[in-house]
Amino acid sequence: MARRVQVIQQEAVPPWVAALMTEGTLIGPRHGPNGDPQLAPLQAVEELNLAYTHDLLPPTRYLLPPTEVLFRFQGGESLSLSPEYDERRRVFFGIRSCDVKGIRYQEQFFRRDFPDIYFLTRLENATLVSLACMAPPLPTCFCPCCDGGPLLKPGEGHDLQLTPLQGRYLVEADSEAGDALVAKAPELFREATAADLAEREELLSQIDQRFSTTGYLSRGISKVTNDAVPEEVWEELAERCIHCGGCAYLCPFCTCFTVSDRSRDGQQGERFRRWDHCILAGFTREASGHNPRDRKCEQFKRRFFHKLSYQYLQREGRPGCVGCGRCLTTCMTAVDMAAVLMRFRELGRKPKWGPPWAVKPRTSP
Amino acid sequence: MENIYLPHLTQIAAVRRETADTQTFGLRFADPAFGRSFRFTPGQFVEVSVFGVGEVPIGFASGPAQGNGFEITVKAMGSVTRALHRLQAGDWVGIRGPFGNSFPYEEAKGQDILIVGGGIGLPPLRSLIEAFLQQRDAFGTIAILYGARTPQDRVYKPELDRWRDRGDLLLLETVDVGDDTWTGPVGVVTTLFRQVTTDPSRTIAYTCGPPIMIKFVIQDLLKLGFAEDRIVSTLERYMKCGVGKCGHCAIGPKYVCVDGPVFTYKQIKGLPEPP
Repeated sequence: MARRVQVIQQEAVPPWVAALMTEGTLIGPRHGPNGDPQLAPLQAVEELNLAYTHDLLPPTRYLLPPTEVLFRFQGGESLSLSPEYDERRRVFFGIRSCDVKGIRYQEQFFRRDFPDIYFLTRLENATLVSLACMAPPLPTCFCPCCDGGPLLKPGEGHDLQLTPLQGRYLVEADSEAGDALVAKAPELFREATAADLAEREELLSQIDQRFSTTGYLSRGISKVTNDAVPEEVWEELAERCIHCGGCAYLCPFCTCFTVSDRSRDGQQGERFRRWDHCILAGFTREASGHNPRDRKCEQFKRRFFHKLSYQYLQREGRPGCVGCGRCLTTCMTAVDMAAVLMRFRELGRKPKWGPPWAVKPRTSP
Repeated sequence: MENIYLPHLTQIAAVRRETADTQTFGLRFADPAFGRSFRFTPGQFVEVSVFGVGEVPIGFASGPAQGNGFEITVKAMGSVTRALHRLQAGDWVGIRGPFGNSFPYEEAKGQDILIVGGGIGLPPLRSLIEAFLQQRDAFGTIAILYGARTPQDRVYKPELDRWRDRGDLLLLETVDVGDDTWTGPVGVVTTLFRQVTTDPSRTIAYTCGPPIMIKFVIQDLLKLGFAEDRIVSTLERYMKCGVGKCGHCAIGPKYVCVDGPVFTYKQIKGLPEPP
């Protein structure tokens, strides 16, 4: 069934958001103390700033917190375990399409085979309102290359999508939860007219020019899947990685975690999990000290194999990158997704110019 | 929705010392109803919790039909296994599982069986051996080759004697380094291959042990003419969740916890970072 397309004027957004804030925690873009855009629980409607660029941290942290308690245990005469689930209502308001894709990928991952009750409980209590990008919020954005945005089609995981037009937003619900948000203040909306839709079409037709669209990702998938990246190129890239973990901590796709116990007296304590990362040297180290993936190159390769190989693409239904560009911002040594894909692109090519990683022209056959 | 990370409380019913650093624990579920519904097959594993210390994956060491409990054999290696060794009968641990796939069993019916174990690799094979012995007639000849570092490092000593005395299987043992008590062969486990005659076309070989041993066993089995999918082994990796979520045990496109831990050599061969 085709859902209604409605329009809200820009000045009507604050009263709508005020109505939504009664729903639960409203997580939306605001400018932090240093002026940096951040997705954070809003205390007041005035904090909302939909003209933001991109939060360096994806909204993942509200659904899969960097650290979370799985259960507490209490010893003594008899042992008891008490798990804790976070059932707070959350409305994510104005998150980017790439982040919606990231969340829906994580949902699929955490739902499959052995459902993860902690993540799914949070997600089931969350409503996702996305904000389409009519132009790249940042020069690092490359979502059109990875099917990560800049806007979502019906069925791509948003409950409601806002598309910015001149002085107003087009509002498309894609679920009952999305309808329910509009129903909180129906008087603020009107049906979209042919003129509204035409304006959107006009903007969409310009998207290809506004975003840089390249075929780097598909080339990367083919190289990684066919093991066509020479070992020395992996070595050269891995050598630059400083194992800071920034790329994974900022990645809207990454899901890896480790689990630890904490107890003062062995009688009571808690088991918690926290984010972990395949590019960290100790990720596969065993109790004996043996580390089957002890080479830096293999650790580095692992990250890109998981994100780009066809085997994982089949398993996850899509490549492991949405083109949000966060790893480009954070990587201090330029071995982020885009840099690695660009390097693959140079494989077997004579460089026209001399980036530091340029392939040396072959001198012998 | 079931909580896959929440352990079931389990009591240590018995502790048996195997070697200086290895013990066998008999575990019994606190909830008998859960115990009755708990079914596992050889090759699978459980996540064992020592609360306040952590959780480790351990393979089943006992046969699949065993009332309200099962056995695990654990070598003290890291913080959790050392903590486990400090526990006694009556103490509580947590169990999640069973997880992972199983050793091929139905496929082995009518076939000859060759089992090659090394050191602490024998426990998961013992689970399989017990399953074979429960339906002894369904299988052809059974040969068990077991190698330990020293005579003191042999696990299941009474059981090894019972197997030796059965008459319906062949048990051969060796140690890397002997001592005054040891009258058997000395040498790595692959030296025992000379003493068994196998028909590789109708035999399935199961091997489990330290990675370096597995490597040489597989080499020799291939030389003997075993097909790659008739060589069955297990892979081990640092592992947290056991259910394909935490990401630690992934090798290439496979997760040891859900796609394994049992793999044929044909499957292992294609993976990066082989054992």
